[in-house]
Amino acid sequence: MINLQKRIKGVDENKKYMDTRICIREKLLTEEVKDLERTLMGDKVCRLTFPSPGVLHEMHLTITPNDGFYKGGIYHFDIKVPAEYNNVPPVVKCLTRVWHPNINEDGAICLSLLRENSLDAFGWRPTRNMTEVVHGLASLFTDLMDFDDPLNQQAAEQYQQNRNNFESKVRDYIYKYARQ
Amino acid sequence: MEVDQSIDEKKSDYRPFSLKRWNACAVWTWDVECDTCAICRLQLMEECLRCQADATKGPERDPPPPVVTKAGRVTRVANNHLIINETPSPPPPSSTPSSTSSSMAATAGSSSTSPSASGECVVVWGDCSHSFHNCCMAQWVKQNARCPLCQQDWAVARVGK
Ligand SMILES: [Zn+2]
Ligand SMILES: [Zn+2]
Ligand SMILES: [Zn+2]
Repeated sequence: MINLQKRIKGVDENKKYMDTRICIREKLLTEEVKDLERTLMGDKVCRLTFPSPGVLHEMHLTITPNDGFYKGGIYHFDIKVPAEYNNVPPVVKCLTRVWHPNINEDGAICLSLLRENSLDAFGWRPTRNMTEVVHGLASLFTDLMDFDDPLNQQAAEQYQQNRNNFESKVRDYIYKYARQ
Repeated sequence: MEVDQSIDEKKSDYRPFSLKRWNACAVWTWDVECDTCAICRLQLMEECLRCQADATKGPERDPPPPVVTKAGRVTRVANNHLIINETPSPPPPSSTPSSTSSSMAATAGSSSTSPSASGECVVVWGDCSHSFHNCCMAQWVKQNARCPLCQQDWAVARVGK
């Protein structure tokens, strides 16, 4: 009896579940975005915009590092917050081509706090928030740069072999791809 | 050694002042380290975000039928609305009281993603002494069976209000 009812309602319940998840995400994001906009006020490195008005779960982040190898580059990121947020992390893609040990040339990013199934303490967990994500992404161009656990193996190897070559390739990429 | 000791004894005999009155003063605070749920960021004493979301959208989108069936439905009155709680994939409601059945809630293998069998949004305490809404924690442990605050393996110490 229960099973039959459930089967008839199956589709409906799934939709209901998603509706609830979306509602939770909107409420979480409303608060988080308020905090985030407050912390980013006057920030010269990170700028956050919302491409579709009223849609909080799609963001565009611009990072202009003012220090380190990537100084002078302008990096664009697409951030999508899944309906299951905050049980799962936001999905981030780098739209600007960059020569970086932790960002590959397709825009995939290796940042521990964006890892959904992580067994260490650095991965995603619901106590994290969008402010941490934005700061994490910005730090990827400075102190979170990690040559020991690279996503772009070639970039990391080049750095280990010849730091100058690495640096000039980074500059070259900035000149070609990251000027606006 | 002996010399040292004798000096110490002499010192302890010497009293520059004596205590005449003693006013003890104590400071206290509530022992609620986390009065908000770190997962949904709402007060633990209130319902979790999920239950609130269900409660607010339920009646508008899907008017509850007047007849309350026993099959998988829990009714409850909140904000003067009759609310029908339908859970996404609930286990068959058990007839055991929530106090006993909920001891199994929020464990890694539990398929319960919903308020406890009684339909109440309860609080769960872990062995690490961190507390969350049981609904919120039940969702999280399915993914990662550790406390989101301290990263210890999650083990339920207590469920209730
Ligand atoms: Zn909660
Ligand atoms: Zn709840
Ligand atoms: Zn804990």
